[in-house]
Amino acid sequence: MQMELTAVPRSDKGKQAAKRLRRSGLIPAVLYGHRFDPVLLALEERSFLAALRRERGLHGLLRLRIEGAEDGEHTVVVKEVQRDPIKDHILHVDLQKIHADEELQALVHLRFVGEPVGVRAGGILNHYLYQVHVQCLPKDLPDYIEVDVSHLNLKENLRISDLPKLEGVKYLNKPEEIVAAVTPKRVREAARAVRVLFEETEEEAAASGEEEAAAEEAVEQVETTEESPAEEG
Amino acid sequence: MLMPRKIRHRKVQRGRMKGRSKGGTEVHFGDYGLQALEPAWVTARQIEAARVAITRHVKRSGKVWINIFPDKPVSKKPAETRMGSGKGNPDHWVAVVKPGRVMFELSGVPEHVAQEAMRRAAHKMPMKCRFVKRVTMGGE
Repeated sequence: MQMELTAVPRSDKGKQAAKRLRRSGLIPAVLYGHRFDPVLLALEERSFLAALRRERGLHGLLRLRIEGAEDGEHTVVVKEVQRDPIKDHILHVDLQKIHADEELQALVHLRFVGEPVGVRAGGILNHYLYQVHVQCLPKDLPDYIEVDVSHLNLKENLRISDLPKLEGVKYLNKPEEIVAAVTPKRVREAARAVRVLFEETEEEAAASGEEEAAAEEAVEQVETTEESPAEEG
Repeated sequence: MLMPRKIRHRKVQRGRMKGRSKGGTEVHFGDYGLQALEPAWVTARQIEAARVAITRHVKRSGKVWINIFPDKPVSKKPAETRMGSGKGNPDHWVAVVKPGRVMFELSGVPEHVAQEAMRRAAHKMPMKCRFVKRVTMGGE
């Protein structure tokens, strides 16, 4: 279901007008798009923040209703949210009008699910990308992309080419770009901790032989990548 | 400690720290960060002390990013010297930090560990700081 936002048109522009608007509990915004003249808007701050707190937040398509305007119903995406870096207030919002028959480019968030095999073996999961550029028709735009990282072992990478193939969605990032990787811990204790962990869970792991083999391999990798503690300085 | 490899001028003027940080105000690389709330000069020693505090607390398990670099030389006259006779010799290096700047970032650890690590790092900093998280457009 599409989230609905309500806005009112505004005529005042500039720093002082924007400040007045913010004092009255509204957020300055702009709506623009292809074959569409930009419109200055004001959004109600409380409802916008409430939308942000929802689980899916402002990802994907939104329905915008402009009060008191002819042809006031638009399908939009949030292009940019400007915030005050210290007070965290929302200063300005960019909305882009989209056409159902035109492909759009958007940033879509990645949601990582599962605990990697390598992490259970004492490694660290590093995220290199939290969102990806995609190109698709508006109807195909996902709210987020779920990425399963549970199969990642130590020193293994997940690349753009490994992301789930979604119908009608094209990834614009380079296919070889790394999304996430499991790297070994750099501490001597890590190897010991791993050994203890796997001694404890040996009985459970016996049920799945493959996992055990992977874990033992991971322990060896941790031990070989130990660094001397003098490095810390 | 951090310091430039090559410099154009050995001594520079002090300058002013007006306004807020123009960039680097969001968590870009990791999941958590330490944000400055006041302007200050952060010395290379302070940066190193904070880094050590973070890495020791997370037991070197997470990944740490340092987003500031001490590229400004600070000069100092020797003790018990009369005033005059020109500017003192370069003594140490500082990073000019304005409010809003995310100085350190951290990932690969649970939130409560990151919070404690950043609290320890904040004690090494010459200004008020706060713990920040990565911003997403939803589920906040």
